[in-house]
Amino acid sequence: MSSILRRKETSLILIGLSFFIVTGVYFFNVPALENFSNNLVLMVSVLNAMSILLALYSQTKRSLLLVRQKAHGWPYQLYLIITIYLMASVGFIYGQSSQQFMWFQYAILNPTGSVIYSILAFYMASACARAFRARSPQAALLLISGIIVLLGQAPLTGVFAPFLGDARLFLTSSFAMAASRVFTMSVTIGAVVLGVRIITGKESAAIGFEGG
Amino acid sequence: MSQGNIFKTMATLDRRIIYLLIFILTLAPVLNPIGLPIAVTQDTVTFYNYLEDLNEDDIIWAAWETGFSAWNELKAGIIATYREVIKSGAKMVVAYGTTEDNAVFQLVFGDPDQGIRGILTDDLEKYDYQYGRDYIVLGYVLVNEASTSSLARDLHSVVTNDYKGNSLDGTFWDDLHDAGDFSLIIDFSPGMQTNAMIRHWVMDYGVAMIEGAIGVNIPSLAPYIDTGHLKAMLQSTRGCAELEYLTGEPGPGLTSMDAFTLIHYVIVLFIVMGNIGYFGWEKNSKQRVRTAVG
Repeated sequence: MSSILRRKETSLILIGLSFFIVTGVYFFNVPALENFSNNLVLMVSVLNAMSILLALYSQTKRSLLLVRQKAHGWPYQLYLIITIYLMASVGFIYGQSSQQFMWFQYAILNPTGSVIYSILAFYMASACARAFRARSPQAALLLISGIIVLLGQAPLTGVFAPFLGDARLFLTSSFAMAASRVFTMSVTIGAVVLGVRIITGKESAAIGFEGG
Repeated sequence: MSQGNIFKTMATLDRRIIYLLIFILTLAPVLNPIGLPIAVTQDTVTFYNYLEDLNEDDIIWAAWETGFSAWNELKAGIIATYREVIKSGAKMVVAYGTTEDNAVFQLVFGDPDQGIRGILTDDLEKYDYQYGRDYIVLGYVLVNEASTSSLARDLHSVVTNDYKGNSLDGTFWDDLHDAGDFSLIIDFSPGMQTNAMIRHWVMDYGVAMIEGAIGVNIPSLAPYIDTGHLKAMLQSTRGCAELEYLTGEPGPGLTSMDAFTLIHYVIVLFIVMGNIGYFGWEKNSKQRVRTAVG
């Protein structure tokens, strides 16, 4: 039995069936199929939630290895592991809405998250000053567009130079929009192609089998 | 100082000077607000109009997905938006998109069970907006695309209790079955399940959706405004400040707009200075600095 379950063909059949059941409800109005499809999607949610345990195991194993080896930055790994388990324990014991659990959120997660986010401003300003150079006509166009968008984005500009706001809108709703659409469509088409290749067995590595 | 040296200084400006200037320009206007005027964009007006049109018959799917990182960028919009929701009396189902959103939600709505007051507790009391009757919190249910899709199709198959494990029986949750029962989705997000909600809630059930987006997500979400899948988008801190202005309730957004304006101008100034230095020294210099762009 286990040898059958381990076979690539079994995985492909299950993937193909799941695909047709989940997408079938969009084309055929069969209540039984719809119920089964809903349950299948729900099972994926539950399995995804369980993957947190796997992530916890992997992180613990990796961090403890680095701590044992006294690798570069090992105290941070130790801090990470201690806070993970301490926070999880407090959450299980006192509940996720308890003040004890919230203390971790407000005293650790909030400041660290905020700092990581806010220091980007310094890096971006530094990059703008030191890296953006009009070395070619294309780079010059990029720079001019960037400056217009930056000026148009500043709230005060709209008061004394509303035309810059309009210019920003034009750039973002034409060139930037076109590029964004191309990106979205490319990703979507790529995802469809990958899906078809997985179902037809041409991307075996994606489902855990060697040899593409 | 010779002319060449000035250009060289401009081209190779010490990053510590840049950091210091950014720090001062961010902090000074927060400590001593200048009160620079701001212009309100049409996107924010549209967003505001959706909030203004809410009434007691509406039921909102409120997706809280910011976590703490995006909370700082969008908090002004979140506070202004949900203050309007409370005023309107529309019912609200709250769903989180990250594990941190429970704490973020508590910052804003408090926790009446534990006597914890939030930023909007005064408004909750003023308009008698009560947990269970007017709003319920499902907790962290927007885990991934699969759960978002499952919720859209059959709410009760995924959720039967609220975020504290209390039964939702007897609340307005009983009358809700799928995504089609909601009149509006309000999502504040750095992009967690935004696209999944557009695909499974908006496209499949035609629910109107308005979005509070962080700066980097604006270009990728803008096409959805054009296609009508998103009805309105609050654009980053600036949009949030504009919403505060429209609602007539100044808060952290408008306070930050002085710094926001000054930082934008100083970045433009840095770019211009860097290019003057480039053309005056770096371009012809043997000590030319290799840089990333251009």
